[in-house]
Amino acid sequence: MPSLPIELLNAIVDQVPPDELYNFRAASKLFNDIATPRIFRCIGVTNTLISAKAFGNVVKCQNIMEHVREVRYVENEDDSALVYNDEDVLQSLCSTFSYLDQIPALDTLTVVFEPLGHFIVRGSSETPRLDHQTAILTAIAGPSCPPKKLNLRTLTLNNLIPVIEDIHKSSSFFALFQRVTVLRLTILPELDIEGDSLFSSDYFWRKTTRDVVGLPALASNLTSLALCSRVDVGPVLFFLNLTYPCLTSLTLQSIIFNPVVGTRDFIRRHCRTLTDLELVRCKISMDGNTPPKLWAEVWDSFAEELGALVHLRVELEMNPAHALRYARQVGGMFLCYDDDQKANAGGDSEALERLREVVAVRRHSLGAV
Amino acid sequence: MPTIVSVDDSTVPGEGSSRLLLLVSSDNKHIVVEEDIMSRSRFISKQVEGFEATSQRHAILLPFSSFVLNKVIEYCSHYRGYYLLEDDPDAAPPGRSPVREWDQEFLDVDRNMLLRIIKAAHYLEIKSLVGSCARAIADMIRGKTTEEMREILGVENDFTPEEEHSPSSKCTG
Repeated sequence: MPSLPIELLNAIVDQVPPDELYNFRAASKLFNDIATPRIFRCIGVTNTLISAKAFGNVVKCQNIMEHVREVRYVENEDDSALVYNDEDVLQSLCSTFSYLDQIPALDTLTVVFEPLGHFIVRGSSETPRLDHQTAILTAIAGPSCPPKKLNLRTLTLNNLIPVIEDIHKSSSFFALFQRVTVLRLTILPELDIEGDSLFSSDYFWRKTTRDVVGLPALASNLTSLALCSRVDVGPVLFFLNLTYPCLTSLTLQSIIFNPVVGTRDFIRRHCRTLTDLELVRCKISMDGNTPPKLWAEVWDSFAEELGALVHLRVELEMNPAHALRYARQVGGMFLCYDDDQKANAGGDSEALERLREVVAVRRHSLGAV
Repeated sequence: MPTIVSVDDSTVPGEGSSRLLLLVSSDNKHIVVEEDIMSRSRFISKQVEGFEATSQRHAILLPFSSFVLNKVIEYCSHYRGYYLLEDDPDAAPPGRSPVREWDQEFLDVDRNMLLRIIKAAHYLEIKSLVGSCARAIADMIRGKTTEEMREILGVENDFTPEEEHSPSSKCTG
């Protein structure tokens, strides 16, 4: 039986998914050394007691912890009512998350909270979910003094409940973003509570989101940004003064295009660096005194100016009749009217195809995948 | 470094577009092969460059049997003139090796032979063949028990009983 040199064992192990390497790891000391960094490079955690405790065990093992580069916390949507009321799970998770700064090579953190319904009101039956999310964010960020020494380069916070708690105002929360180069934020739909702006998603976008994306440290480091919402976000987010000199990838989901928000010009300001652009269910606001730019004008200006763009994905919101590309703000919500959609339907589609062709030609000429 | 021996020009003729190389296996079989076929091997390419620098030609002695060597030559002959990303020194290495149908049939051999081919490919620095063999071996060990893996890969259990039952060995992430 020929024994294999370590380079070949590494090549073989590279072909096996990490979660299938446990038996390999147990075969010998050498195999343990080869498999351990791969198995524990990314730790997946969910909100069950077994997972929370396993996560805690990993963090206690010094010789394993040194290999961890990424933690992915993804909440399980099954039996959520039971899970959210389980204090043991929350305590176990919070206890372990509070040790994240003890993981020396951790540079990627993904936190995906369960997507909730539209209405979450303090004091209602949904409160445990808000408390749960706040407790986990607080454990991750840690105390403001002394601050945690997390060195995150990639940070994903998905399904944030748009309620401003103390954690969202703390310096430890903002410290999470200090060295981030890849940032993805997904914020849940607005909360409906009578007249109290503190609990509306508008206020969250206007305050917390703007404070995060406006961090000076973020401006110098950021290469990839995703801002996502499940409902249209209008003039509560302003891109007017934002520029990220190194930005190569941008995803905007349900972000309104209009001069007040400054979305189109924000994208154009990154024409020299932006290689990837993804626009999901974005609409142009038809409000205002001056006639708005039509999508055809937006696409044509992108085709002319975004000279580095090699990947483009545009997903329009559809109804059975046509794509919903234009909206008007009525009582805080963006509504679509048939007449607006029909105004320039052909011109918009043709301009988008022209842009796609320009990008495809550039991609092929550069040999990009 | 390989052992090389001088050979006369009649054994390895040619200054044409596709010169011939003499490869000598560990069971002392002499195999003449066109240089173009073996250009996928970084090891052979470097040897040929060395020949040009000294204006001498040599036979290249290789530490594996003619049976294994012929399998490698068969692989290189099949992909003669083909661009394979894994063999491009300027390209970023792919994460997992691509699945090529011909490779799967070509590597449908017994376990020992597969291990011998990957070692030969590693020695000859043919990354695409190393990758295909690694994938085939990985497919062989996936889903196997620890004991079965030891048998396939020819390793001994060198853990002490204490190490086998240590807390870190139980961590599953």
